[in-house]
Order: sequence, then C-alpha cells, then structure tokens
Amino acid sequence: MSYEELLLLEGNKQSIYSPSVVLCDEIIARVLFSPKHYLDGEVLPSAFQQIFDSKGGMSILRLNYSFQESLSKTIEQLEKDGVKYTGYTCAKVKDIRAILTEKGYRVFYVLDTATKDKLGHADIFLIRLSFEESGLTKKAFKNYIRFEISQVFNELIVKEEA
Amino acid sequence: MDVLTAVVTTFLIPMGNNSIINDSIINNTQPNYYIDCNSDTKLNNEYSNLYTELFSYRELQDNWDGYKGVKPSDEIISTTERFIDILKCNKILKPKIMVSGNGEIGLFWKNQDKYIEIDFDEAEYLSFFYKMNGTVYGEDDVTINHIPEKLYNAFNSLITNSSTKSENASIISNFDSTNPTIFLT
Repeated sequence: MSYEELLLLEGNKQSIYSPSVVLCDEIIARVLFSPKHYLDGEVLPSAFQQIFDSKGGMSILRLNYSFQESLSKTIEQLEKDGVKYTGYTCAKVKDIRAILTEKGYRVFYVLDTATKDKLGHADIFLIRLSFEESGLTKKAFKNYIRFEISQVFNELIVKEEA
Repeated sequence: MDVLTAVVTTFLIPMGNNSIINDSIINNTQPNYYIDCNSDTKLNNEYSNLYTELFSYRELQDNWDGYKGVKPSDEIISTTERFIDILKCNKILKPKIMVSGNGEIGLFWKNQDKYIEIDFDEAEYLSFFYKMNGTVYGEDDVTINHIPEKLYNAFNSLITNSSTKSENASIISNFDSTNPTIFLT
C-alpha cells in the first residue's frame, strides 16, 4: 500500500468488533512485562522495539473501551508464558500521529484491531516508507524513532509490587 | 551549586588533566586491546552499577519481556562492556543502560532537549544517534575502537551549549574534538 493508502486506513473501522476508529484525542496504553523497560519513572525507548520486529503492529489498549477487562485478559494471556505484568505506559494518539520525518512524513499509523475478547485492542504500525524519507542511516533512524515514541508515552503506571 | 550547574556536572564525573586522558590505554594496534582504569576507585564506584546491570542481561530468559524477547548474546554484552570501559577511561559521565527484546543493548544520556544514544547489536560495532537543538544525526556500524568524532563532539555539546559550565565540564571542552584519535595511545 502507498503512504496515502495506509493513512486512509485510519478513517475506517478495521475489525467487526471495533467500537470505532481510533481518534486523535484518545489515550492508549502499552502493557509492560519487564522492569527492564522503565527507569527513574520513565519508560525506556527499548520498550518499543517490538514495533520494528513484529510483522504486524505493536499491540496497545484503548483506555476508552473496556480497558480494565482488556488489560486483565492481556495479563492473563501473557503470564501463562511465565512473565510477570509490571505496569503500563500511556500516550495520546495525536502525539503518536504527530511523529514526523524531517521531510514531514508520518512515521506511524494507529488502527483499531479489536478482538472478540478485547474490544479496546489497537495496534501502532510503522510506515516503512518513512525509513527512506528520513535522511538518516537505517539503524540510527530506527533508534531515533524508538526514542521519539518513548517520549510521547509520558505516563507510567507501575504495578505496586513490581 | 545551582541546579543548572548540578545538571551539567552530572554529565561528567571529575576529570583529570590531559596527560591522564592520553594515558588511557586504548591500543588499537592490538586486536584485543586492554584498558586499565581499574585503579581509579572513584571511577569504579561511579560505573559499578552500570556493569552490574549489563551483566544481569546474561540471566534473562527467553520471552523475558512478554513479547518473545531474547537476551543479548555474550558477544554483544562483551562489546558493550568494552565500550563502557572506553567511556570510563575517558571520564565521560556514566550513561544509563537499556536492553531491547531483540537482544540489542543501548547506552544513553539525556539532558533537557539533548539526547545521545549508542546501540550495540553486532559484535565489535556500535551505532549511534543524537538529537541536539532539533538536529538529528546518526551513524551505523562504527568500530568500537574509539569514540567517533561526531559522537565525541556531541558529548562536548552537552556541556558547551549550556549557559553554565562546571569546572569539570570545561576540561572536556579543551579536548581536541577534531581528532578522535586523541584517545588512542
């Protein structure tokens, strides 16, 4: 898909379970399963590596839609694999969508990817084209973008005993 | 000490003179160079928990982050350790450290709107980027044998662009930043 086509996806519901498209004024959360991903009250850029490694997007939960229920199900699913939930970090969707390359191209798009069990599930996807438009070397760009997205996740909620 | 001075000072631990810098043993004529800064107690104390955190990555299990994360390879940990040695011997303030689900290790410094990050995803090489006053610059796959010139200048910029300099900060400003091989003996 072209850059324009990817952005157009944001205007259409992507799942039959989705309550709505993801709006710019929404807040979303990324669930954390390791204390290695935050330090001194801030989430670290390394917590967002999955956005580059995943073939799909990076899973997030929408705070406006069954958040506690979706969070509990996410924790339940992942703790089966032996990891421990440690908290979550929040960002405004408009801040994620405002991350641009030097030439003004969007780097991420955000889609509603609700499932039957998690109505508030969504994903952040990387626009691969932005690599070529960045003017940076590949690894530098990747790590720079990872830093930029960590900066918009500026609220950290850590589980008390984590 | 005012707040700004305190912030600036935290970017550099107390430094010696240029002879000490030149005494840093980073001999790139040998395949496996050895850096000996271990006699400096203050340096060792400053950096000790950084090494502790680095070595803790060896104990990470598969899926340690819940998202199919892998632990860093021994080679990545060793490469990071050696570059931390270089930072320590050049008396650059201890960075913070992080580990990613793909096994990459990162070191970073953050000061208001300035940010420097160095990443290790391959044995013997680093990649870095910095963001300074709205400008972003980076390089990929640079040998760890010395601090790249642009990176070195970025360290200087953390200090020289501040309105207040500490006494220690002015020492690094006197380095010949156009010659990164100043670190080599």
